[in-house]
Amino acid sequence: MVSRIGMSGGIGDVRKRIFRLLKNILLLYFVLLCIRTIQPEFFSIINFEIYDFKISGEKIAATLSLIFTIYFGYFILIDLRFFLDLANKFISMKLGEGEHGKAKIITYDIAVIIASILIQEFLTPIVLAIPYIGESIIKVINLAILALIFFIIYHMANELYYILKRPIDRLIEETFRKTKKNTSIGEGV
Amino acid sequence: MDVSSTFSLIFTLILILLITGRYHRSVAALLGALLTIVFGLEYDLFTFENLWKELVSFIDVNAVLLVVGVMILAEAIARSGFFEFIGLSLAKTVGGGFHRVSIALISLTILFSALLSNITTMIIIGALTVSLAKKFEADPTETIIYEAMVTNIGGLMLMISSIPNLIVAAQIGIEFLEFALFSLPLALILSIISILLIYRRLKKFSTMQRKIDVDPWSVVENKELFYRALTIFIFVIILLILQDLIKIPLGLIAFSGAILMLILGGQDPESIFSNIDWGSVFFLTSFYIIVGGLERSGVLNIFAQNIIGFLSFQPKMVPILNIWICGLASSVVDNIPITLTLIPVMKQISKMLNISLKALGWGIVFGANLGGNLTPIGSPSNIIALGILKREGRNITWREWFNLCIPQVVMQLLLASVYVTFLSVII
Repeated sequence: MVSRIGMSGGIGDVRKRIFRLLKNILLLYFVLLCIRTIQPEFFSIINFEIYDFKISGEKIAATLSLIFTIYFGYFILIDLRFFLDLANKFISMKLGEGEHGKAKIITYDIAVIIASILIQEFLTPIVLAIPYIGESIIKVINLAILALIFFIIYHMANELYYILKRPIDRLIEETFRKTKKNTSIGEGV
Repeated sequence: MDVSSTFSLIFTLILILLITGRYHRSVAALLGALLTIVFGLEYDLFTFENLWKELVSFIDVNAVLLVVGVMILAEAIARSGFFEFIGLSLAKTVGGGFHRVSIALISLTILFSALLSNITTMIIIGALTVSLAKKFEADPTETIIYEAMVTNIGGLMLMISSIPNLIVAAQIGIEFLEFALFSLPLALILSIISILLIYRRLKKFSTMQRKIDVDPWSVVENKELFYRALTIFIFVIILLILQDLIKIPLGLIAFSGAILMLILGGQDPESIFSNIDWGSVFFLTSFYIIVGGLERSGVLNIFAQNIIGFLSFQPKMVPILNIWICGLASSVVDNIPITLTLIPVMKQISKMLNISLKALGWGIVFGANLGGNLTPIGSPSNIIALGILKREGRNITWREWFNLCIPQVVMQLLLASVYVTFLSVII
């Protein structure tokens, strides 16, 4: 089933992925917190040597953290990629409405990036003038703009990939065909 | 971020909006003007107290009045039926095959676009071409594309022929007669060569013979208004020619003529105003503010310094490079912003490299006018021509356009380069 937003599974799938993403992030956070908490008490007793190789509690804690980060990180990244693609589709829908040319869509992306930088440049001195909370607000705005720019660059890279994909595929096919032809001639001789 | 980077970003953003055509060009320019004002205030380039004074100082009122005046005059004369009358009379006189009628119409396009805006010329001549082609049962495609192409040659002829000409003349100080003296020879050479080349291509229509039995006066609704509008138009042209003697600013002459036309022309001012391209007027005025901001923020200075650094060994090449840069740029962007942006840069280059400013100005005029033919979106007349053909069921691809136009446009730009080299020696 293809949803209105172009992803399989529809809104139910999105909801499921949001919860799964949050669950995985929290689980990872919880595991890393546990390791860090018990590290001074539990791992400090571990300290031994096998030949020249020193095994300390710190090293074991770091290795465990790495393993859990890789394990949960894998699932987090899968869901993050899903949301990136979703944002990508959304940007395409909003920016490239009625546009068929990918080059034109990329140009719109550049325009949005420039506009975001100008907005940030315009807002910074105004918001900083607000007493007490100005600095915090500007941090949030900067983060939001940074995230937007990141999404737009991802979208741009995607569009660029589709522009380059066809000629590269053709080149590979052509090279493969020529190589095959030359090889068969060689074999014949 | 420093002030010049911010203003460069504003300019890039507006150029992107103009190239992609996401918004109407006047809206894009108004946005650019607003951003210039906002960031100008933020970076203390202007103050709130002197804001309006500063903004008005950026706008060349003489050029804006000249553009508005010429637009009103041209609209009034077009509404009198004068141009359709001339077109039909000429087609009837020429007679014979469709190729001869086409050549007559193309020649007329050059003359009309010297007096009218390219858009108006293309609408009048395009409609005339389609109706005559139907009589001859011929395909009007090539004729209409060539007509769109030669509007830009006609746009070179006089100072009032196109907006870049008016801007360059007003900002560099070229008078009406001086302009005609230097631009007409090139325009005539280009016209003759283009017509000869087009004649060879259109010869295939020579077998399509018909007799045109339409009375040219049938397109004139009111003969009195026709003569009145024509008299006022000729009177204003004479005043523009004598501008050097009477020392009245060009903008004032054209604007006074327009008011005279509205009072004495006997036409409904409301309908004339509704057909004026106000978008271009907004665009022009807003772009003056954008360029003012670029100048004040030092972006144009940096741009000029880079060009000077690049060209200091070959100063004689600057006018030629001007033609090609303007030509290529105006094939994708409107030629008004290119002209407005390059003039202050050229003023600096002229001072620093000791090159005649007028020679540089001619480079801008030739490039901005002729470059529009390189692509189907390079000039408004091209877009109108494609629209007319689409209505007739013919969709022209970019490839077809390139096949028909590129050889001629490259030839035109090469000839213009030779001519501007000659001009830079004698000016």
